[in-house]
Amino acid sequence: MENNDWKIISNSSSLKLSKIFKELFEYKDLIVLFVKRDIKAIYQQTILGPAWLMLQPILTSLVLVFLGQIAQIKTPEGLTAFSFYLLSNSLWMFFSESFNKTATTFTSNASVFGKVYFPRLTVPVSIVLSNSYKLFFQLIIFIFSYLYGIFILKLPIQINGFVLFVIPSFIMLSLLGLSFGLIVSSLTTKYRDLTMLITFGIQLLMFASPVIYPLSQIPHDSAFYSIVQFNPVTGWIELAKKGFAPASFFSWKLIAYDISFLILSLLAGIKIFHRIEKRFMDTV
Amino acid sequence: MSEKVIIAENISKLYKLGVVGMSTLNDDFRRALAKLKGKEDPTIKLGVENKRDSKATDTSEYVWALKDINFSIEKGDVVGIIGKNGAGKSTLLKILSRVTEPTTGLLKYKGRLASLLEVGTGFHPELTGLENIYLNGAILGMKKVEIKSKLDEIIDFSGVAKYINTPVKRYSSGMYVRLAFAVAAHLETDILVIDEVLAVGDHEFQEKCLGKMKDVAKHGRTVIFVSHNMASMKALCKKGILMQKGAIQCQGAMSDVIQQYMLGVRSNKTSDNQLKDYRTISSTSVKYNSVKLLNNQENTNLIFFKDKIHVEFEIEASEKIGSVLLDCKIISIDGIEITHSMNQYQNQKHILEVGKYKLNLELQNDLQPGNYYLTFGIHRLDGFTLEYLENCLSIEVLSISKDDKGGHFYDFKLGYLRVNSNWILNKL
Repeated sequence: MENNDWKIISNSSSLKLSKIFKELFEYKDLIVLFVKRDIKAIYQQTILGPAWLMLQPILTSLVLVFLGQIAQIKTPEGLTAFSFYLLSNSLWMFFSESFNKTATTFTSNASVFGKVYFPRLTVPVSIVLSNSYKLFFQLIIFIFSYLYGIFILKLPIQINGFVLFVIPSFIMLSLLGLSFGLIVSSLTTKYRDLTMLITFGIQLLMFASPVIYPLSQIPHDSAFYSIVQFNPVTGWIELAKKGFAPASFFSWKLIAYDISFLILSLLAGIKIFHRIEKRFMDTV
Repeated sequence: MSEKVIIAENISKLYKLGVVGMSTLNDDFRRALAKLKGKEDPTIKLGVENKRDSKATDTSEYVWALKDINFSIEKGDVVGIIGKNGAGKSTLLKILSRVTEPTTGLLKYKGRLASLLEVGTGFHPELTGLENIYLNGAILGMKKVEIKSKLDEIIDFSGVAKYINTPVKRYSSGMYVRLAFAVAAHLETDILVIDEVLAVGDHEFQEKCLGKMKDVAKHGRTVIFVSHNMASMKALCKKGILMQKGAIQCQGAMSDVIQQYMLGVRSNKTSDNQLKDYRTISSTSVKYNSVKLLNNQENTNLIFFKDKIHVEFEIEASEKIGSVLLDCKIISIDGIEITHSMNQYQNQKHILEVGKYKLNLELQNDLQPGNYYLTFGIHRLDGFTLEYLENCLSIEVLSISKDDKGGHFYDFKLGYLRVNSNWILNKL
């Protein structure tokens, strides 16, 4: 902990990724405490407490099943419509919540950031981690729902090796949400115009993602199909479903595109966030 | 012991006035363009000296909150930063605590640095006291094991042991502050930056805090301290930095710096139109038109030792006020309130109707030789202050008395007051 080097604070300090991560690691206790705080604070003074974490996705999925029936969306074989939407929805929520909540990092923590220094990156990182806690409960419900489909409804068992990619897909989606959030929160410290567009933008992005429909339902020669493929979340959502429903879309090209998109946006996000964090107090 | 741990080199900080909008966007574009061309930031030249009271229309939109600050602090120093409101103290603290960065110049420091610009930063109302100790401690830069090892001490110091498992939203504001300070007080870093945190809690707790702060200072840690409380500053700090209008006016031993501050802020004579400079609270209903020391004919502020202080005022009341409280404070040159006197203490009653009055005050003088300031106020009976002239009259008590025949130790100055005493010696 002790070191005798001069630490220098000035207008032109440079960015080194290794330094950022080292500092972040030094503050790991703070991250853990932030996660605990977030989890505890949300369900304080509710009787059902964390049970809401299970109820919410069940209710949402039921609504989606109903809407899917109306729109005559054919969910892929291997999953019941309910299980399909449960998985889809938790994938999407994991991404959009990571995005949405980290996008206000600077503005909503201004009072704390203005009083004491700690690596600001601890806040968005802890948000993503506390999201994972919620995800854990959602996955439990999904497993139950899946087993119900197999054993009670006697659906054909189509589970395959791609199932190993379910967790990585979730991680990638949260990182993508994090990097989008980092960029937006950095861009909105001075001019807040962008915040007005966020909710709308996320909604638009959802319609352009295979969340309420499987990608296979879209005519492959339509313009919409290529738009959906350009969407950097598409690959991960389809990949996670492929383990249970082999009819889902998969191509190495799409995954390669999504991975490079993720790495670039994450690097850009960390860089711009780091640049803003030192002077945002003057403009927020 | 003379190892330097903090060095500030030409630190300046530019602030933009007004709201964020199209004009700031315009400036941002110009700045980006200049950077692209490799030229100097065009907005930096626009900065003006930090003077809050100059007219908004005729000044630039940019202000230097700090300009060319240079200092160095050695290991184990306890340094106090003083100055009037708006002198740039808080901006400097913000840079020292890494909340914001300087516009130009740089700050270097060695070791672990923590800042206490506010107690209870990051306290979450829904979490219990115990959970908040951990959270707040971690925000201030402590490790979990560190907090754990000091947990008993912290709870003990805060004096809220019974409520430690209750959410802090149920705490009284006093308990909240105690807990918050307890965490902060147990922070162990090489350099500690503290802002005004002593002004919390009741008197007993303030004493406790002050004691803790002294402990911190004794343990060879470097502490930087900002406060308006001159008495505690004098007690805590050996060295001082006086700031004025965003620049350092002087630095050196704390007692010298405080004297500089007091002398710089107050001029020796108070002319009638100067009174407004000292008026910290005012109302439309009543004001002092003039304040004059009558002790001697030569219009100086000199007062003989033990000579009664005689002040004449003109009061103008534009409304019927009724009974008023008139009070006077005597303040030492190092900012300590020595004594307070009020018409009510003497069971005197004064009633103001609309009109002008002449008021005469005779104050018993037990002051030791030296420089003092007088503060005068007019209050309603419910305590509401109508007029307040802070340190508006400066006096110097001489070391000789009026009918002095010599041979006394008047120069022997200890404390602020020389009370009369009677010593009786009887042979047994």
